[in-house]
Amino acid sequence: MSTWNGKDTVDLLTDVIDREIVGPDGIPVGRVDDIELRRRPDGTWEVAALLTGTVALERRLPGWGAKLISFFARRTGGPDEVRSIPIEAVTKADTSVSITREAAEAAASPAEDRIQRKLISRIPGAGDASE
Amino acid sequence: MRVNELIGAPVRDGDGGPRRFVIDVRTRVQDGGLVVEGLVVGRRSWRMFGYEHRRENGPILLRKLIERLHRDTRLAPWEDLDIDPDVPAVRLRRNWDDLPHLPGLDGAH
Amino acid sequence: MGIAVRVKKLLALTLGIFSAIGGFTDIGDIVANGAVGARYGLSLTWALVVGVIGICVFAEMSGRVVAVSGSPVYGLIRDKLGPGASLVNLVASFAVTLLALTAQIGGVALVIELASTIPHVVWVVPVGIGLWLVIWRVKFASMERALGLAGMTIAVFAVAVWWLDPDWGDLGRQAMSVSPPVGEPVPTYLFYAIVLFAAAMTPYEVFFFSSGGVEEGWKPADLRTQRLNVFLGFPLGGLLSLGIAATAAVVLLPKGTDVTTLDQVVEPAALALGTGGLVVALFALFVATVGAALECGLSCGYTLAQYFGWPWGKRVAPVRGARFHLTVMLCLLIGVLIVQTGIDPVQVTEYSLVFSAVALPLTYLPVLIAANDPDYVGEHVNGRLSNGLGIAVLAVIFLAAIAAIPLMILTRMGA
Repeated sequence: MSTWNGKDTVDLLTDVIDREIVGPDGIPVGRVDDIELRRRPDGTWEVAALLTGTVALERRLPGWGAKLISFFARRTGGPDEVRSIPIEAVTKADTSVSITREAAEAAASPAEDRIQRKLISRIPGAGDASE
Repeated sequence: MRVNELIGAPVRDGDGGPRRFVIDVRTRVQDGGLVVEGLVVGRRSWRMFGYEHRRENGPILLRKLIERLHRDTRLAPWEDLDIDPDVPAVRLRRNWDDLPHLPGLDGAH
Repeated sequence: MGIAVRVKKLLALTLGIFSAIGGFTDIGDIVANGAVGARYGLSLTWALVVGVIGICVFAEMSGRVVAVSGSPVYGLIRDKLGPGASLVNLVASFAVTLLALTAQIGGVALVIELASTIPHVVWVVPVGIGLWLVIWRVKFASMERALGLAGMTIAVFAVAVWWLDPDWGDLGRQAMSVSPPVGEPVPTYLFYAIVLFAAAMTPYEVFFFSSGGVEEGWKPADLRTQRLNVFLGFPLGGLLSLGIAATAAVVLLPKGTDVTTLDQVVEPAALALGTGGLVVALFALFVATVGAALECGLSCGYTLAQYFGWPWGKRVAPVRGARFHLTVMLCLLIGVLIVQTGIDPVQVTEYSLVFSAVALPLTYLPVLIAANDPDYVGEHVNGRLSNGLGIAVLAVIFLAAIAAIPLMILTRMGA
């Protein structure tokens, strides 16, 4: 399967983490902020899921960065729980990671939904793309 | 176990030599999934920017700089590692010098 | 090929022109070019040329990355630098872009004041609302084409120079020179060189250009289009801003006038071409500042959304890009509020330019790396020329970044 852009070797930080996760329509769902590993029955380890959410990002941010982001996250009703995308839902991975529609819907950001409901959808014309 | 817990974690070898850090997690593609092969370990937690995958990547100046920064970067196979996820701490059951250099960053053509 | 197809092909080039106008002829550049022309004549042309080369090289790389991978610049910054370093860049670039947005809002209001004699503070809120409406409702392509084409009227300044029938030999000699006119201190001259260079390479130009490429749906087949956009649009922007400097050089330099206000900048055009020239010049400045404001406002949203992975862009309905639109709205609001406090919008850009010089290295280094990465550009990796130029420009960027703040302090903002 050429899911991983024809590569045999994938370095998780260089090639997967921090890349964009997109649904089948090409619209971004989030970024790969962390990755969950699990142990297989034969003792080896494998990638279980991609994780997205600012909470998952915190470990790799400097102290002031994590504080700044969680400050703004709280202003919008967050911070939200980390969303998980099982590795089986990945359909293609090059400069962005494409996932199935079901996984994209499950991993949609609650913050996006809150702001959409409380603010944006109340303004006329919000339902039309201006392009 | 989360990858973010491993990135930047200190690594000690069998001799208790100088501290190294986890730079990346190397995996192998298998049946559409990713199986962990080992940890890329180096002096500092500097990124590799993708230069480890191909030798032809330019620009030459940058490539030389990255190769120099990563001259001691090695690949530690998963079987030779003891990982304590809570601390996190990683112990290598071998010595540094026994570890293979990272192909692609070893500067040899 | 029918006329319609030819016209459509020509119109495909307006993204580059639009991005360039926002970069080279926003309100800060307009006044800076006027001030530089009045003080140094054309003897800082070399700084502008270096800036044009720099932005062409990097805009082409970012356009190539977008055409092949669909990834705009902020996406690749986070991927290459990691969330920590790119957050530093994000804070700096966002601050610069927000300050620039503030200045543009003030600039639009100032241009309307010049045309109507009604004080600019009255116009600030309507301008803010107008800008928001364009972002909310007007199609990206329509906005880009209308403003890109209308922005060509900035050429009126170049026409004014020609009309004034100056001593071309003298102008030519000034343009070739690399040192200040007699009596002008070198540190201040170098400070303005950095200001012009930073203005030519402001990060939001590439944020906007590459995000615009995504909005326009560029694919690998559009590689030639994107290249044409860059090599036509940005040099044109540079020429247009040079035109503004030239009119000041011809009319104001001999008088020894210090340019600090917008009406001084249009004075030469009015002198040369009369009322007609003044009207066109004001229209041109209006288009330039509105274009720059839209570019800055959208870029504030683009950078934040691309760093975090939010859905973004005018190509998605606002209900799907809620956080993106909220960000743009808040930034417009902050801009309007700051201008209402009475701060001089032009002073604001001068500061933002100096700080943007410091943010440049973290913006452009990842672009150079990505343009060499087959993951991002497939087989279209940088050749020797692009890499050589890229490294050279990066070296200049680093020098400018190091020298910017010390020179700013030493020369007291170029006094």
